[in-house]
Amino acid sequence: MRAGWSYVGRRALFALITIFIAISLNFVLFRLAPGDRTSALRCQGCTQEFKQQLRADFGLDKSVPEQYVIYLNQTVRGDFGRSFVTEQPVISELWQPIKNTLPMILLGTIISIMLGITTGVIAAWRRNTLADKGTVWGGLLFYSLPTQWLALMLILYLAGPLNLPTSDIADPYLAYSNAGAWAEFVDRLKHMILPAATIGLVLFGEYTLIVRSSMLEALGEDYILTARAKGLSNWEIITQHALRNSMLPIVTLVFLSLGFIFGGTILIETVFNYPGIGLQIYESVGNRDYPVLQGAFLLLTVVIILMNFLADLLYFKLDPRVTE
Amino acid sequence: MRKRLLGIILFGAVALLAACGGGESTTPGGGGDNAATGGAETAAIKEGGIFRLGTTSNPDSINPFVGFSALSYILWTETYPTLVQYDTDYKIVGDWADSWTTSSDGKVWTFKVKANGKWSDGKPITAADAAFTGNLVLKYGEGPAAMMAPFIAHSTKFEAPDATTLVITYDEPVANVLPQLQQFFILPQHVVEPIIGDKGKGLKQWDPMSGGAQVGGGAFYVKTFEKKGTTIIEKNPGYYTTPPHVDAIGLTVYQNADAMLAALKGGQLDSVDTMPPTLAKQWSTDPNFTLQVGSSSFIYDIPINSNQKKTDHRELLDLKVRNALDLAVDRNQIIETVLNGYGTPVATMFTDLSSPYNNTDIPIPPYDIAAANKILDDAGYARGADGIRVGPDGSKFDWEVIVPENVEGIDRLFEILKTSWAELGINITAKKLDSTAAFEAIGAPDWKYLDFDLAIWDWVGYIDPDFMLSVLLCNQLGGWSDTGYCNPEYDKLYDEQGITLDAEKRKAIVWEMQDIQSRDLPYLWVAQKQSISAYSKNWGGLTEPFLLGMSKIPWDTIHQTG
Repeated sequence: MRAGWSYVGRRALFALITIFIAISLNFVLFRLAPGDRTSALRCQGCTQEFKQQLRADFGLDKSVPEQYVIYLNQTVRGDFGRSFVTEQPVISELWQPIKNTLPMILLGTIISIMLGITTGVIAAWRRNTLADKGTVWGGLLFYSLPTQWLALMLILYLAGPLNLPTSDIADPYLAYSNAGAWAEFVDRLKHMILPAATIGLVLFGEYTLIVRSSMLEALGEDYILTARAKGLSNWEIITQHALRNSMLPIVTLVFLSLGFIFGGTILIETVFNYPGIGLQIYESVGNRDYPVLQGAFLLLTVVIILMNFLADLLYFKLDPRVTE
Repeated sequence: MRKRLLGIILFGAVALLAACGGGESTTPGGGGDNAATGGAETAAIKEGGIFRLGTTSNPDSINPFVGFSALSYILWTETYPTLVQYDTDYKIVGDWADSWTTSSDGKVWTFKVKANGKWSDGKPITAADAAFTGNLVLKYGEGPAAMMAPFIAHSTKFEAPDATTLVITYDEPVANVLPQLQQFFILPQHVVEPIIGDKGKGLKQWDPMSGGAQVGGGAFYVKTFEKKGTTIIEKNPGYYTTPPHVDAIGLTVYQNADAMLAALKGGQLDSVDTMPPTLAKQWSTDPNFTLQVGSSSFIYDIPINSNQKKTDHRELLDLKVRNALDLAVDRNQIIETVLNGYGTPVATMFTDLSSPYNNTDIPIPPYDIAAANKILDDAGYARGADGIRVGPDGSKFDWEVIVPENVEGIDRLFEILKTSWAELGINITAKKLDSTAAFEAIGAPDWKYLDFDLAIWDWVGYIDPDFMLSVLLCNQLGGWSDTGYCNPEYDKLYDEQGITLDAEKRKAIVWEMQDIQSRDLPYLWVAQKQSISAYSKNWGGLTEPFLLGMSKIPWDTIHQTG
């Protein structure tokens, strides 16, 4: 047990160090881009004195090391500052986009898992057949496609025929038709279908490979032979024995990929003009809104590290040998 | 993006109104691709409804002291009173002002304004609001109110002797008082005064939606504002003239034209403000929509660093080199490839919309690689072993071109340019940056314009020539200048045209300024991009395609067809 706690401690320390490095990188990266908030304001008619005053207001007149110390100090105290654009606290600027992004990511992840499990099972069960090759190569193909390109293809070929929205998170005109809660729910769902489908299609390939691999291993086990000898149907063998025993690596993969999906929504949300955390980051880059960018990337970093940490813990729980 | 201040309105206006104009284009040089002539106009007017417009540009701010995008200007034009506006013949007519007079010396302008207007919160709109706004901008014009200051340039005071009289005093006669005032948005004193703050800093941080909705005084007020989503403007019950037919107008932002067109096709939109030229011909055959093509003031340009103190690649300061480059811009191919034919070549900073100020005596440079090569050969710029020309100081003709992102077609334009100039023994490399970074790179270091070679960008001008002429002034270094150009002779003429009240004399000065540009070539002017838009045939009532952002007329008349 002591070895176990030591393992958890090491992983936690590693996570904290990673977060500190990420916090520092967040500070440096955005300041490397040419221009700052005062130039992004495009106040071409403003005097130099006024621009200097604005820089002072934003704290950009201080030296970079001074800004860094202030930034670290504030971050440690949980104060992420205020948006240069809206003057609102960063937390409140990010909260609504996060709430918008989360359900879309979850839907996308569910789509990818369902597709991945289905194709993975087919590939394993029909090993070395056309179905195997087709599903595996199909998954890899989607995984390799540029996300924004795939999103555009969905817009071009699905949005029109299925009459799905291609922008925003809700129909703004519903308020004029006194639509009920159910109609609003359906509308929200319709708005997230295409972005979520993009996530699902891009990611299902990795689930396909993992499921196929685990299933192949499981299908070679003695208990599968026993199940066959008992006269169970193929469906029962797959669902009640093989697949159930193949799920452990998938659970780990879900944790690992969730963090990356969170960060990877920038492209998807930009294409679909979906007002989530990805679009917020995209616009904040254009506005040189350092506090929002720092807050958003810190959040993404923490989510990824947290998910990795949880995956580590899960491994520890599932297989105590990892501590050795 | 730096070029989207005043004039950008025009392109958005062209596109949007063209989208809704239910007849053949009345624009100079424009023409309907799909003849829906008169169909929408002759149909019965159906009152009410929400007109849903899709756009790929977005309102950057609802605060007129901060925003500068086309959609922001359109919103302010619709929701704030302006003294004057353009009519369908591009002539200045009254908006909130019923009439105006000028003193004999041209320095004092007196406007009589309508008495019955109300802000959307029920408070009366009076001349005191206009005087307050004017004096506020005068006080903070070099600081937080700088975005509005150009529209009242040379004014010294605003007075409201009574509720319907506004007197504006200028320090000298100004040639373009009315076109400038067309963009001077009158703000509600009772809303703005409390938020001014120390040194006017509150103006930049003002959120006009903080009360739940904007307090508007035009035909509409902003009910909901979503920079990234849909902004809805609703009818202002206190509008000072005939109310619009529609109940509300929604502007939905899309990040790409494909998504927007899919929404139009799916019935989620009634109109789109911009159609990519590459898709226009395909849409022109759709019976449910009208595609309309119009003129615009959008011009692709190639700024060349004209700062005489430029450190590297000083061969670019040689007028012979610039002339050769101008001859090696294949404008026709750019129009065919980049604009799919929806454009015209240009030789100056003005399109026919600014007529008679566009200098039509300046010829479009022919595409002549042989002549361009001869100029460079005669100037002594020999080719090196690798075929790239070399300057007298050993500097290779290997230049970096700043290419901002998000300008439609600009990558293809660059490739055409690269191919053409390669035939001259010139190599160019694209430096792609977002608009803020691109503008910073042009002025680098620290707005001294020492580093950059060339750029490709666009300008969207305005009907009155003043603003476009101003971007080449010495005092715009560090401001709007994207060339580093400074010529006292040019500046003197600019000041002169600004106070010349006689239209013919002013035109002569403006033409002379374009001659100077044509001689010094701080810009290579490439092509005008036409506006292309589409709208559902269920809508009509907008007959004039150039006025959004310059007039309340278009959205006052838009309506559903019976």
